[in-house]
Amino acid sequence: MSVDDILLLGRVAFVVALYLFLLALALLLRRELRVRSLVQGERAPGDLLVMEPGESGLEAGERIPLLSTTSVGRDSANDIVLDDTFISAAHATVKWNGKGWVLADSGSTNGTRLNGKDVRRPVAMKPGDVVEFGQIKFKMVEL
Amino acid sequence: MRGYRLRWTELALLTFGGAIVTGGFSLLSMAQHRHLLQSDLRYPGIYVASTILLSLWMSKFATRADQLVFPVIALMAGVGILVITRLDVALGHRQLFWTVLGEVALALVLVFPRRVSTLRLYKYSWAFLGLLLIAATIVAGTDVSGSGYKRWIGFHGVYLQPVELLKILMAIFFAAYLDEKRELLASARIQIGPIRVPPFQYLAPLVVMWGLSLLLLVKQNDLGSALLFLGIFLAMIYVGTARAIYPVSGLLMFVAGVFLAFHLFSHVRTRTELWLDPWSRASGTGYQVIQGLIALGVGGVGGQGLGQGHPNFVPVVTTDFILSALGEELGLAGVACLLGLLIFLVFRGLSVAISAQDGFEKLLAAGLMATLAIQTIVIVGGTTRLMPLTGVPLPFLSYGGSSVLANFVMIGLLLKISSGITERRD
Repeated sequence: MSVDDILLLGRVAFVVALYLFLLALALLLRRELRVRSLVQGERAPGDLLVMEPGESGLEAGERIPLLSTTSVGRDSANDIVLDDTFISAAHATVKWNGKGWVLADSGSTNGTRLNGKDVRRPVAMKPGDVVEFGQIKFKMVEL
Repeated sequence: MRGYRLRWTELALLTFGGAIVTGGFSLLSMAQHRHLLQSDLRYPGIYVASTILLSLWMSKFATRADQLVFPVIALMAGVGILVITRLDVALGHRQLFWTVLGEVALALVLVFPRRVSTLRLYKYSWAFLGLLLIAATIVAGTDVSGSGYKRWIGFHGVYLQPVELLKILMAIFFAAYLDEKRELLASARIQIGPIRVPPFQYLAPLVVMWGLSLLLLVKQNDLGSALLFLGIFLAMIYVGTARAIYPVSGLLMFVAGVFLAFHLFSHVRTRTELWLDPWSRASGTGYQVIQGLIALGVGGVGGQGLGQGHPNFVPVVTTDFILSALGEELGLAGVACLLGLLIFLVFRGLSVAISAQDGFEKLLAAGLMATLAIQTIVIVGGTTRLMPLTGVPLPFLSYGGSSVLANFVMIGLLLKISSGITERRD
């Protein structure tokens, strides 16, 4: 390899390395965001997008922010309060474990469904999945 | 204070950045001598060692300070040393010396004031000290650059620009004053017809301090710094009060002032005309701007490669026009990445400001970041002919001892503020 080849290669490598440094910073920021959201009550990197609001008074297309642990139900103590006849006082919970999402039913009367399937025990959920609490339908979306 | 805890993220990033800078120096050596001169790697070696040492110092004295801030400024400082060495070897070595000195200053800032918030106690003293220094420079200063204005204070061959120190002192003063009077400024209102006028009278001490520094800077024909101080002033008032009327009325007054200055002062008019049409004065007053633009154009997207362009055609290329040298040798790709690092730094600093508990620390962090951001906009805009050129250094990249020292002290304050946050969170 001649000196000119090395210089050309080095020239490209130098700029590429600078960008890799920026990329490393971005990845570290992302990791920090995820770790931080594990702290109780902090914002998790996802939203529930309202598809069918039922009687809850929400608007279709509205985004509801998720926390590291989000409780869903009719009772006003829940993080997401859904005032709908088909929703139980404590209906379900959505959890963020730092890597992925877990949906669990809290023994509701009318059930929780993930992509049309009944949720009996905690199941993993991913962005794009459709979640139904009673007659209210959400889509899970990433932040 | 707890014991020793290594800051692994910071160390890893510093190693990465150090490798980039060392690689750059090797490329430079190959481009200039057609083979790798080992003696050329001494200087990047010193640079890498100094950054690692500072990280080790922080793992003892600022264990919880933010770990992403220092690697970012270290990489920028390293690229700065690299490009300045390429332009002028002796100057590059001096920049390395200043950087190491800056790191020492940063290390001392981390230890010396036990809490950043104690700085607020002496706010008027800080402001007057800054103004006094500038006044002293006007009387007994030295004209190093040959611009016809005394902007340096020197002792035994070492020259410093007090305006860089004034920047920090004013940010401290503004932050302390605004934190004290914030409620008053944000809430009290006087109703005049349909318009609610904010209580401008409480701003008087701020305006007086700012006006004095402005006066002194205009006396020195330092329009870049004057513009910078206006920006810091308005940004900090807005951060402190969250009321848009302050910056908006400030900017309106600024526009009126510029209009007046354009008609009153010939050098302001010359500068504006130079900005609008440098080409008709290409060999005279427009030479600098045009050479800078040509260098950027020659660099194109990919750049000519380190040591392979001809950036020395551009006047004052190591300070005000460092962006042209970067553009010629690293191209748009390299410059965009370096500006990306600066943006990252500013946003990181603002997030430190958001999480800080103490009002003074919050305002100070925001003010320091506003300083860096506005300074970057002023000089990058000036070199690329987006706005009239007013000379200020490009943070961390331009040559300049005082500028390097001031920037490292600013980052030291920011790191100290960030370490206070995480201590309280535990």
